[in-house]
Amino acid sequence: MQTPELQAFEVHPIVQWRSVPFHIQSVELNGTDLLVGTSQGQLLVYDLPEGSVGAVPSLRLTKKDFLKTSRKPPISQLLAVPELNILLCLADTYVHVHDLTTFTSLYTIERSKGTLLFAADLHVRGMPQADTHRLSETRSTLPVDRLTLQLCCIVKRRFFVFEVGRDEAKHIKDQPLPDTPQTAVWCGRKLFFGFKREYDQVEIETGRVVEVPTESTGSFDRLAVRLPNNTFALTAERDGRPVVIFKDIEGKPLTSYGIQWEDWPRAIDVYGPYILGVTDKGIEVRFNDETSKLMQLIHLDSPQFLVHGHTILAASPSALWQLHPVPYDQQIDSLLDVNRFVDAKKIEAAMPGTPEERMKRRYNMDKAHAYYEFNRKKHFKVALDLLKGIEVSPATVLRLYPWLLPKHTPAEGVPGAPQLTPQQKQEAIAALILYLTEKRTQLYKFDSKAEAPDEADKRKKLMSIVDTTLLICYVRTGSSLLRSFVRVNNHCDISESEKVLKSADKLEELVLLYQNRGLHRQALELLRSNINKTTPDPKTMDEEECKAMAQRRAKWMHAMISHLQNLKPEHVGLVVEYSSTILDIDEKQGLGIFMSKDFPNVKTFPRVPIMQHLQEHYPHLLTQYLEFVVTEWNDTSREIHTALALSYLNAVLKMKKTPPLSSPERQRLYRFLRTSDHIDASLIMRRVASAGDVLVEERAVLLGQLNRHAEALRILANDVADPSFAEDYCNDNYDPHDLDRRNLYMVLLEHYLRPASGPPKTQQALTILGKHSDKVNALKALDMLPLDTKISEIEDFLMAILTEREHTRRAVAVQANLAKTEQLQVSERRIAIHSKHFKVTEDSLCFECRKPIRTHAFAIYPCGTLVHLHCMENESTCPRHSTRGRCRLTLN
Amino acid sequence: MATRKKVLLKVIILGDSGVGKTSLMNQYVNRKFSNQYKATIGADFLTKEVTVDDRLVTMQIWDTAGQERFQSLGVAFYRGADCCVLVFDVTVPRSFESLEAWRDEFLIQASPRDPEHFPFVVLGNKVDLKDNRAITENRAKSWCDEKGNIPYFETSAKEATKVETAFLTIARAALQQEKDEDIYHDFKDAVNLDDVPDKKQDGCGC
Ligand SMILES: Nc1nc2c(ncn2[C@@H]2O[C@H](COP(=O)(O)OP(=O)(O)OP(=O)(O)O)[C@@H](O)[C@H]2O)c(=O)[nH]1
Ligand SMILES: [Mg+2]
Ligand SMILES: [Zn+2]
Ligand SMILES: [Zn+2]
Repeated sequence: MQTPELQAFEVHPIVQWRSVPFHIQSVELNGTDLLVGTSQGQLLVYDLPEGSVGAVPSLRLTKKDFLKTSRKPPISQLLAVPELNILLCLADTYVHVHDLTTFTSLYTIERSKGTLLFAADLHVRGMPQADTHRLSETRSTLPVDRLTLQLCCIVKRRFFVFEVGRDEAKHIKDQPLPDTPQTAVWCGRKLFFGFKREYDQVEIETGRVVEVPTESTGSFDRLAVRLPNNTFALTAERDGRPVVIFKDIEGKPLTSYGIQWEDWPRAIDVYGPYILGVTDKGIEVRFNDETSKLMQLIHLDSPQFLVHGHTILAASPSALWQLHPVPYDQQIDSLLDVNRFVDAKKIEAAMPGTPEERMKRRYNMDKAHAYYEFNRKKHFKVALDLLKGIEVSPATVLRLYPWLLPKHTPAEGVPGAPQLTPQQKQEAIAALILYLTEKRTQLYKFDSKAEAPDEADKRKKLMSIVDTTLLICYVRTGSSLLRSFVRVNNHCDISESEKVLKSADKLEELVLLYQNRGLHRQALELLRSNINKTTPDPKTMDEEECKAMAQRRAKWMHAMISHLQNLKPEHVGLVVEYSSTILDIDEKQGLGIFMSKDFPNVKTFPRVPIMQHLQEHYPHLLTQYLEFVVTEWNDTSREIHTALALSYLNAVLKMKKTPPLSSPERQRLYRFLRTSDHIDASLIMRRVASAGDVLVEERAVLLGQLNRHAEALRILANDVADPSFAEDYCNDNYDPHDLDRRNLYMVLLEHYLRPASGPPKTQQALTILGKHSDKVNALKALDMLPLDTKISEIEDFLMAILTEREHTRRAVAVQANLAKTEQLQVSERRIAIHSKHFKVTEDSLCFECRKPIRTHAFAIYPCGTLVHLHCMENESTCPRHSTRGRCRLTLN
Repeated sequence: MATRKKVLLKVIILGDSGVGKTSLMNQYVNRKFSNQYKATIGADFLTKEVTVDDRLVTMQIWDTAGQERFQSLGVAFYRGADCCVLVFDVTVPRSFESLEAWRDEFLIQASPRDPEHFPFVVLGNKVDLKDNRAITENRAKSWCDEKGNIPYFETSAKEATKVETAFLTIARAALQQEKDEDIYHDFKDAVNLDDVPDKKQDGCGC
């Protein structure tokens, strides 16, 4: 057992009888009067002034004739009742009543004959709740005229109750008991009795007996003591060992624990945080809590009981000692000196003081305790929990970790910064991680609205310190949480984190951190450097190594590609710039960056910069890209279409000999020129023209796009052998409502029938006439025909005109009818659309804020998703289907 | 230790607002479902006793707020969790894309000792809304596989589809996690005893 070093009480012997023929039998302290009853029936009265410490009290009075008998029986019990100015005294098995001032006898309670011990209590007539007892603090405010002194005398197996006054004692009742009690104490209008094997509570008025359970079955000296605040201490046993337990006035347990003793105490008292017990060894001073920790053992020669008045006294048959409590702060200091922080804090808790004072005391103790736990005991978590409890700033906490954060070496020294083993460092970091994650939650949850700007700055700085340290901790412990941490919202200091992550080779995590913070260039730069670093070099590596290297590079490349594909359109400059890294290694993957359908952002990248980039550096990939955006994403921009046409054209022009129109190169050019409406035709035309007299068909198409139909048709009629081109051209461009286009067939006929040179191409003209009689001016056309044309040759034409006329007449009639029907249908549909509705009920919620729509203005997406107008972020994308999937019409 | 101590498993449900966290918990514990939406504020828990592999355990299921403004949870709330359930709504792509963030957040706050093996379970909820489905089972599964073979269930709180099975798996995973923690602590205490010589040696030494 550990020796208690603390001095909670100074012990002063104040009365010592050596060669006296009698001894101390009973002691009472009434104000400054110290009353001692002797074994020979005398009463000694000493003066014990308040505040005197250790001084020997002066003997004022010796009453030899205190008891009016010559037999000199011992005075075994004394009780002063200042409220009634009487002194109760047990001697010769009678209770005697004396005046408390003169100590003369008033009377003897005759019916108390045979009393072994007594218990008395003041009751307030008609006010049980105001009942009190000797130790009560409310004593001075009692209504004196209603006070009655209740006396209980134990006479063998029976108890008597008297109401005691200055002149007489009234017998109230008596009742048999199962056994002779060892102890008796009043509790309100009941009595606690302790027998050899149990405690009972007896209700005076009804005589009802109830056992008070104590889970103790053995036989030992039972003791019941009334403590302040209507608390009762009882001796009991737990697992055969002595304890003191606490009960309330009803006999219900007040604590789950008992105070453990080496031996059953024969007297008990409490003071501040302590409980005092008298045992054979002396007086044990223990903490009055579940630890029962022995704080001081006062060795005294056979102490018997304690008296508690303005001071505490211990008595033996031949001596009286004063137990003078040492001031709390002295006790605390002496405990702190030997690092007994927990004990010191318990004493502190018993000290009075304003909340501020207590907080200050507490702060210093906890801080010192924390440093001790951390530096000396290496209980890192305990230490940090303490510091957390007193809300020490994280910066202070971090000073405990100079080896973790070289930059934050302690400015104000931390006492005894310890040398830690690697294992201890890991434990210290683990504790720090727990501490910091808690701190950061606090900091992040902080309501920033109510914050002054400089406060906010400070908090931000703190967040940065906390997060950066946390990052370092994760790195140092090799925790896989690092990966999650760099992705969550954090305030890590970038340059510090960079250093840490780089030196630990946590580059993937660094990329993620950059990405998280929107530092795309840094992220990409790092990816690029890693890709470069992992380039396989067959000169210095064997085949295996090359393969492994290529694999690592592929991983980085993949990371870069997906990073690029997740960028926003405004970052297209970066996309273009860094795509080269991939393109230079693998053109297919590189081109894939711009052509992915899996990443929704890719489609939104501005295409001209990409096109220009490819054109400049990867011209051979340009066509593929342009074709993709035109065909897959239906791009309709002039730049893209023109560029695609040019790239087709260049491919043709690059060939040594102009290929025939039927070649695939010319086919795709010719077809694209014919079908695209978004080409800068004059630009292409200039390029075609600069190539000389080739590409006649394409030229004609371009002239057509430029509305230069006459020129186009001249070329087609004269320079192109196959007349179907001319006819196709007319078919493509004919428009009866366009001034420039409505007489294309006539122009062609003119070229055929009245050529500038050479013979007329009557046959071709007749074919056109036969097929397109409806698109020519019949009279003019006939006029143009050579005079020697035979009627039979134009029979087709004439018949066609007639049929056409007839056909037109009928078609118009049909059309009129169809129009009428259509009009009916449209108006029917209009009615249907107008009657389509969507019900907004009480339960209809805004998808964004999840509050009911109520009567606010709202918007509805095709799929039926509702949002408040003020919550709508984007008109064109529904929040439910934000990035992927399509928003479909599901309502009717 | 001779007596088996009573097991309390702490399970935390996370996910975007409206995915059906509260509904799943209610379906599992109370077998009730409501079409009404009432945002969860802060966090609340229900308990349920279940038998897992012949062992009776108490599951304490914590439901949390998906809406950011209602989240008021501290680290203490996440710590000591034995399993974390991530829920998304199969008709709302955004809620699926948030899973990663929820997982990261949980890991950082809870700081489990062995993050790689901390048990998660993913639930794709509202599978009864077949016509509006936006996230395929394959896509969800492949995400789960990528994150270390997280068990995945397709549930409907409304029709009680797979809810029971999913929570049984959750309980089992949580129990395993709890056991692992126990072993760790027993081990740690054993080490600590030597460390503290002034600790009382008496008391019942059974
Ligand atoms: N059809 C269908 N609806 C469901 C299902 N589960 C939940 N819901 C509905 O979805 C809405 C939101 O459900 P909650 O359980 O409150 O969502 P939550 O995840 O708890 O939301 P917060 O508390 O805001 O985080 C409610 O209207 C539910 O009725 C389901 O399996 N099928
Ligand atoms: Mg909820
Ligand atoms: Zn809204
Ligand atoms: Zn939608």
